[in-house]
Amino acid sequence: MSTVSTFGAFTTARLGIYSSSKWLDVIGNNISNINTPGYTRQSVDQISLYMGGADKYRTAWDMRVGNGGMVTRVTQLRDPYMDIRYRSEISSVGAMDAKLNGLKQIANILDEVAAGEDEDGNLGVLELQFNDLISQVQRLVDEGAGDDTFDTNVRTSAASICTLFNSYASRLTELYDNMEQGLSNDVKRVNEILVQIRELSDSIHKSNIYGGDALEQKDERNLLIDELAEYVRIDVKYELEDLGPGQQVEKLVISLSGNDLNDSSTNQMVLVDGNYCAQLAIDHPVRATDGDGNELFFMADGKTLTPDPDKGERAAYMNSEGLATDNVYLARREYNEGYGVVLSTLRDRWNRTQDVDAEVQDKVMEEHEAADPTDPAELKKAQDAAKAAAEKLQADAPTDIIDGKAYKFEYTAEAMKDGDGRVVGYQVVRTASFKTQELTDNALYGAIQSRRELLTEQGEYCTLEQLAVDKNANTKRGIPYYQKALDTLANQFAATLNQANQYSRTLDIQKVSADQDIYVNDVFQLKNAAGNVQEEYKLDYLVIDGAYYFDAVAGCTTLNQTGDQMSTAWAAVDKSDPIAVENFKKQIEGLKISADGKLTKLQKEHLLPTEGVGMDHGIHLNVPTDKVCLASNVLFSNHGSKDSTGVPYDPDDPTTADNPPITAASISISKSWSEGSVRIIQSTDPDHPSTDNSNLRHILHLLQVNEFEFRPMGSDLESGEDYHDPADRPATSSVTYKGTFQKMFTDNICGHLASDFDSTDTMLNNYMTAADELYVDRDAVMGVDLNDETMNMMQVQKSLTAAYRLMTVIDDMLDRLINNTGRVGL
Amino acid sequence: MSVFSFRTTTNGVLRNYRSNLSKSYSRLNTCMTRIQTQRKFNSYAEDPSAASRGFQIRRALWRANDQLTNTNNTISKFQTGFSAVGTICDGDVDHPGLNGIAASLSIVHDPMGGSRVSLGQELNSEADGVVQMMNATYNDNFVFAGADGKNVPFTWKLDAAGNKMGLLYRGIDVDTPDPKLLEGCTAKYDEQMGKLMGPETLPTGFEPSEVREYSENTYPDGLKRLELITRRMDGDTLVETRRLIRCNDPDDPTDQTEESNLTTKTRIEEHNTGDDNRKEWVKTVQEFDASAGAEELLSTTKTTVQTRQEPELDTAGQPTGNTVVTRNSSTAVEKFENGVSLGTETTTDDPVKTTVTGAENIFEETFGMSLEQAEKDYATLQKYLGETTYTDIGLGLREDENGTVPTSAYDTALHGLKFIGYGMDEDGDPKNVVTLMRKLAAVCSRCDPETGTFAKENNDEEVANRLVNKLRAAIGRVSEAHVELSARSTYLISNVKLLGVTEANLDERRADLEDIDPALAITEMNQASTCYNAALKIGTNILSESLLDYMK
Repeated sequence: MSTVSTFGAFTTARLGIYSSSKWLDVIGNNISNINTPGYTRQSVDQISLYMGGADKYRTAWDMRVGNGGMVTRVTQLRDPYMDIRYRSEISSVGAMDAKLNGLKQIANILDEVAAGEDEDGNLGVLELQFNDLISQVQRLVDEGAGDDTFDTNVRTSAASICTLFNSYASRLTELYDNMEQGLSNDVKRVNEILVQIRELSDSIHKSNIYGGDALEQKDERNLLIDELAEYVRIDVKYELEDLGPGQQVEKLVISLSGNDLNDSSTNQMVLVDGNYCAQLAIDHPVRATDGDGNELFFMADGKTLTPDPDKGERAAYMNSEGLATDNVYLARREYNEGYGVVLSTLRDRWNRTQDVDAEVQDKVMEEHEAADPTDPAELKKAQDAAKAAAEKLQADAPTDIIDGKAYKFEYTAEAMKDGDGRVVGYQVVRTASFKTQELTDNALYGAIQSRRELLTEQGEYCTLEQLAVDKNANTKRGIPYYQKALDTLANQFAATLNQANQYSRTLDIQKVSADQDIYVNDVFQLKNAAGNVQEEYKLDYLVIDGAYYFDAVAGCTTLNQTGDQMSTAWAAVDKSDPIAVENFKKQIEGLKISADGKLTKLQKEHLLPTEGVGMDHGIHLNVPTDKVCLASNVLFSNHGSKDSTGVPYDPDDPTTADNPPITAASISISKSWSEGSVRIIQSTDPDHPSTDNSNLRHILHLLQVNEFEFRPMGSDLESGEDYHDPADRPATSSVTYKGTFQKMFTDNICGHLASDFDSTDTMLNNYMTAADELYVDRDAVMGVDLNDETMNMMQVQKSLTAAYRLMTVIDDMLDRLINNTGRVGL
Repeated sequence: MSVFSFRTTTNGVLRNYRSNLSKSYSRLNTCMTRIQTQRKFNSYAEDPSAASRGFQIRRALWRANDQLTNTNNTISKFQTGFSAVGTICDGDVDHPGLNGIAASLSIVHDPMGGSRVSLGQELNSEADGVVQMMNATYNDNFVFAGADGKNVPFTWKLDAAGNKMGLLYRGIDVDTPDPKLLEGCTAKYDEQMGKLMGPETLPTGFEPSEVREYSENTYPDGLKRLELITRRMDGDTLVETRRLIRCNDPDDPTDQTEESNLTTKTRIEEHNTGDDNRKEWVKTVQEFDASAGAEELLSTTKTTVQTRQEPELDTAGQPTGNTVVTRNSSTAVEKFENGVSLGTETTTDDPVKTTVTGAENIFEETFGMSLEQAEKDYATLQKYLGETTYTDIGLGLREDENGTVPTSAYDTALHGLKFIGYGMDEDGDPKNVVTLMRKLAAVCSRCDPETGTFAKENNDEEVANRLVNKLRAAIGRVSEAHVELSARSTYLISNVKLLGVTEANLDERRADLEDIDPALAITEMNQASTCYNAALKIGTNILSESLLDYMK
């Protein structure tokens, strides 16, 4: 029989009271934290105390019982799998929410459904103004031909359209700026979260070392991780870190989970690694002014550029050579529009970088032993081989992403020594240091990426380069898409009406007498709206074998390099020598007029205008017909104070640098139209009768019926070529939409927006529903439930009462044993 | 973990509740917005397809409204024109109108002729009135000016003394004759026939190619004879057969005797002389007799004609526009008997010089205007008459490479000339009702003021009779044009009705697409409201009960 401890039962009762009391504490903590965000319900780990072990007095008849229950630790009830699922879903919610928010703001500008309703029940703003313009043109056609009053009405309506285009462009730019600020704020918040997670991890780490659980800090960290997941989709892992013999503590590793999970170069970039965290930054130029008030560029890589106004440079964009340009289409995306998000190196709270992993650092890549270490020539040979190998490795630019960390490698040739310290050869050693990494479109998913896409995505206007990075780039539409679509519409609208407001003039080669062999003349007149000859060119033709060639024309230096009259050169050609004749014809092939008398693009560009007055008036052809677009006869301009046709920007032609295409932001009615010196021409025939309305009908047809092919400015996805004006595009280039002006706006631009909005809204609802369900599911594990806690409380109350009762019983028993036992005879 | 799957926590319930309450309130808000705005959707994204169609219908409605305005405007213009032409036809208090004039024209035929002079004055006055009415304006535009509404269409051509010499339409004489009017009728020298031909020029070839002529005649001997002539082409040779059959017994149609059966074969060859101004023709006529059954050659006549053309020169040595043709001809006749030649007899005519009047000169003599001027002015008039001012009245405005497709728009241009006529006829009389009246007025004014007798020297009586008939016809054409204009106005009025129906249909479609059904919308809102209220009610219960409430 075992020994009996007189007060052992007291210990059992006391342990029962202690454990129940501790449990009650935990229940109290749970209940009081029921409304604490992120709180994970806690539970006690209780064991049954058993005082066993070897006992020299133990006998076979001995009977041992346990010594009561004991609380060993307090734990959290949390399901990591639910965390992963919830965070994955909340990333989608964040992504869709940010996108929907952005689209809503774009829709506030562009959505004309139920907007602008007048007392007659008409709806729309730009749409309505287009209708008004058409009505005014209808009046002009029907009863106003030759009447300036009606022209003024059309002009007023057209000016309103320009103002609306300007307003939409301006509001989109304003939205863009706000969105830009929003992205900066998001990045700032993400950085704050990353730092806080790092701080908490550090604290938890220390607590773990000293045996603490740091449950509340973990809750706080989990809450931050949840928030982080809204901004960027992440993978969260808990690894064990060795602290020394037999001691391991938990280490948190958070890495990015990008769009393309198969792309190792953009996926799994590490954000938090234990006590280290990275930071995000936006790599784009910041506009600033120097001391003199001049605008400066500040590049992310430290470059500074000051635009030169004398060269027509404005502080706006930068081209592929790093030079300032005011043309958005030439600007390098990564320098300004792309919002390249950069991930910094991992640093701890004292701003120290993490040590490079030993497996990565100082890795011997190759060894070149000398055949005879005692021979200096052999050593030199081995050294040269090692150097060459190092240079090759350096040049090959090996992958610099290892385990989600970006490295900068350096390869050097170092001496190998034997045990005696003698050099026996050379080896190529890789040293590594961390570097920043640009996060491409595929590397991010979540609110940050959605906001970035709203700032960068161009839909059908994307470049081949963008499409190569993101195969869905041509279906993603952010603010730039809507800006460019509006630009295309405004440009086409202006170019079409400008071209329609020209008197027709084709080269009349029929009246030329071919039997005169060489010289024939034609007077080329350009007339203004009043029908007066504004400019006149006398063109000479050279006729060889029935084919017509332009003879020398002033200013025609490209076609005719010498500037001499070709007829002079032709006179010197030996006509009896067929080879000489053929050679001459080849030489002047560019001057040949096609059979239908239409000018080639090259001829148009270089024959019209000639130097002087023509150039001043900016005569260019911005539509693919043989009609000449006379700047002084245009209705729309890229600036209200001048008559510009919005000449196609040509990087090779410096004279076009200050004359960018007409865009939604710049469209205005031309100076001459606003002053009334230019009117809408009734007929393309300068000698038309007074109320001829043929051209007015044409304009009405263009506005009301004609279906245009809208081709994007920028890179063409089919040909890969850059076009800076829709008119430059060949007929084979990609067409974003075919329809009337109004349909382009409502059905295409607004339609895309609506479809995008609709699908995003649906997706957000789905994701939110799923996230809600997952939250509830997760909360089913980690959340505090009052009924649950009450039940526990009742249970604990009973066990506590029982322990008290046990103590009372033992007390009674001992009392009887001590005070009332052996009192016989007392 | 399955133990937790049925565990529902207080906060989980609350989150669900909040989420659902928010959705319920959002739904209620959407329903309320629909009722407030009376629209099924209030943003493009709510129903992209319907929104797109809505814009399309609204656009069509807007267009229909424009087209209605255009149609009404055109109707007004046409009504102005109709009224002006009506006044021209029916007159007003100051003018008898063309119909009144037509009724008065019988005065010309009055043998007494006392009123002819006053008729002439009335005709002149009416002509002035017609011109005034044809210069009517609507909305600051001249109604009958075609596409040149800003400029007065009809003006008088005045001489130096200010006398009215003719009527101009946009600067062109309305009496400009069609330059092709005398085409084929100008005098010319027919080399084959060897004579100057008049307007009824015979064809140069043989025609028709196959002719049968049949005639019955009673001859002086009292017997009836049948004559049958057939002509047909055999290659380039005209074969003509003449059969003469005598009817011996009038009561017996079978008692007939063939009296002759002669055939001639004529062939004309044109020989190239190598000189464009010289030509040579050889005409060969062979005569056969088939009376006896077999065809027997009787004679061959070969006529050779040579012509030389030279321009006629006046005394100053300048071409007059006429041509002098010198003709040399000779004839060789060879006779046969029983197939044997009896010899050839050749005769040579003296050269004949003929002057051929040039077409231009004939034109100018007939119309008093050079052909060149007529060609230019007539082309201009045709160009004016071809001008259009189409307007969109809902016919589906379209364009092709030639401009507006005519069937897709309505031409509102009214050309005054199409109402009052233009050009000249073959007699050199105007077709224009105004100038016709003035020409007749001139004839009448030349009558003896006392007796009304026509002037003798100009053959005035015949001219007057001719002009009266032509004026009546011209007045008839004005009336027809008036009626036609009325018909066009009627079409436009029915188009107004059609557009009204189109508008109503479009508005109905728009309403179907965009406007709420009030009953449905209110029901939906009530339902949403009930749901929301129920959700609120549930909210008061969520936190009210727990196990704690039952603890003592």
